[in-house]
Amino acid sequence: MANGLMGKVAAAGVGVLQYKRAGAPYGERGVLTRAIVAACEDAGLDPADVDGFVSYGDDHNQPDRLMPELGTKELRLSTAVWGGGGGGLLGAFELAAMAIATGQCKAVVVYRALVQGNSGRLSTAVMAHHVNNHFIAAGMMSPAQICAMRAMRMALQHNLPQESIEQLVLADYYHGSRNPEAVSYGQQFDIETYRNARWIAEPLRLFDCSRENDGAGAILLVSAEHARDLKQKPVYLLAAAIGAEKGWGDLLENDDDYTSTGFEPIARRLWESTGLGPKDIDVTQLYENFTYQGVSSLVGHGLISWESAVEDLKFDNLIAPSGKLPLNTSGGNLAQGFIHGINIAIEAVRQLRGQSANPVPDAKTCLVCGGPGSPINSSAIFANQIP
Amino acid sequence: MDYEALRTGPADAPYWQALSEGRLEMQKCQGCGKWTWPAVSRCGECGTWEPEWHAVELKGKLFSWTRTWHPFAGTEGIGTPYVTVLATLPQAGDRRLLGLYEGNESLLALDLPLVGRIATTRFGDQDIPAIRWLPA
Repeated sequence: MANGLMGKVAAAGVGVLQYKRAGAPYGERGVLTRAIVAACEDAGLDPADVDGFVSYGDDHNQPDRLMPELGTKELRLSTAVWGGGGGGLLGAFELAAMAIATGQCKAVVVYRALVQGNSGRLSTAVMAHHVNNHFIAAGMMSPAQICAMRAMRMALQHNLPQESIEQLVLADYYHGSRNPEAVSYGQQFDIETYRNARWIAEPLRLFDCSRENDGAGAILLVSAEHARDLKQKPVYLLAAAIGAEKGWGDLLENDDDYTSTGFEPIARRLWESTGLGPKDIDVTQLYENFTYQGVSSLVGHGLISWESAVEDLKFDNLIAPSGKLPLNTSGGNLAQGFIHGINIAIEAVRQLRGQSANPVPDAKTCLVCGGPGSPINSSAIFANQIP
Repeated sequence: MDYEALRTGPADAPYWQALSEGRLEMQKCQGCGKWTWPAVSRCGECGTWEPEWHAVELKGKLFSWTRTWHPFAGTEGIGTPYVTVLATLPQAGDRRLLGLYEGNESLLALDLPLVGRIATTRFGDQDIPAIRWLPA
């Protein structure tokens, strides 16, 4: 399969500001502007030279409104990915990379901002797309409940024990406790607190659910050649894919494989277009909006199987530096913070630069999987050298 | 039933009309025989427009379930905790429908035979036609 993107585009700068929910000292646009400027300063590129902007998941910050504060000289790409959730995260990188690789743009920022009270919460955005009278007539009005219904089927159909889910949570909090930027930094995570937390919708308890922070994150993408002239070590985008295949999508819970999270066609395209496979992935950043969906996303990418899940999902196997399947090295959505997933893409860049709080020795490739609760999903592979 | 109005409404309008009149009706394509759900205005399998609606018995099997404990906004009229089930309908091509569950919660298990009755669910200040599932 042709891959016109492989190694053509690189992440050159990252910027993130994160606060406790409802704790941002600026409005949403103010936080976002600071994150974009930080990403540009990280790269050593004038923010006025950014000519493209891509977001996802119903971000409300239109690029033209950012122009006066960034000093934008010319806006050439102003777009967002369809779909109400974090499923569009890596689709935003695909769009940005297509614009750069084809010469339509020179410097594109992928961003997401969230300040409570400005643009509302992601669950509201997901609901607006997905939840209708068919759901609410059955008492289902939130993504958590829909993911719970799917999680229950995963647990029953695949005999997935709660103990395996806990391993993912423990790994996230372990990494988060060692990351100064994480909400869980310095905290000892108590598994009993997790086990005894209140039910949200069975089998999901409170700490199975990502909880939103205020903040904004931005990643600056430029051509690979351009990146080599900037301040940081380039992190190349090898491939990104978004979509859904027949039998999957917004189908009123009638997806053909109900325990899937829809990643199979996405992963297939990543492998076909890079010549890589699951065994070539050194570290994974997983969008675990809900724990079970994170596990299903690992299955969808072929990193584990339902049959091997109990064996593969072991704390020691999931943590840096020694695990064979290190994931969410910043703490992930659960323990680093949740700005609708942008943090996990930023961690991919930092990990491949050698700047992670939990470095994976000699990591060359990083898989980033987008929001698995969405009808449309996306993933990408980043690398610090072109294979 | 005002067929003219239903045709110009969303594809699933006949479902809601039938449910509000105490019947379950689902869509089956007269071109290829496939049960289509969610409702569509064109069968994506064979290209036939306006698949026909057929009465379906309220019998199913439990495909999955969840018990909601968090008092999500709008669900006050249901009252937590409550169980929602996703039921497979074998006589409608194994299409799945959601509904609140009434009955012994210790019986909840995959493939539990279910029968349904039609009721309404209070959500916010609306009463929405709805299916209640209970053990057969």
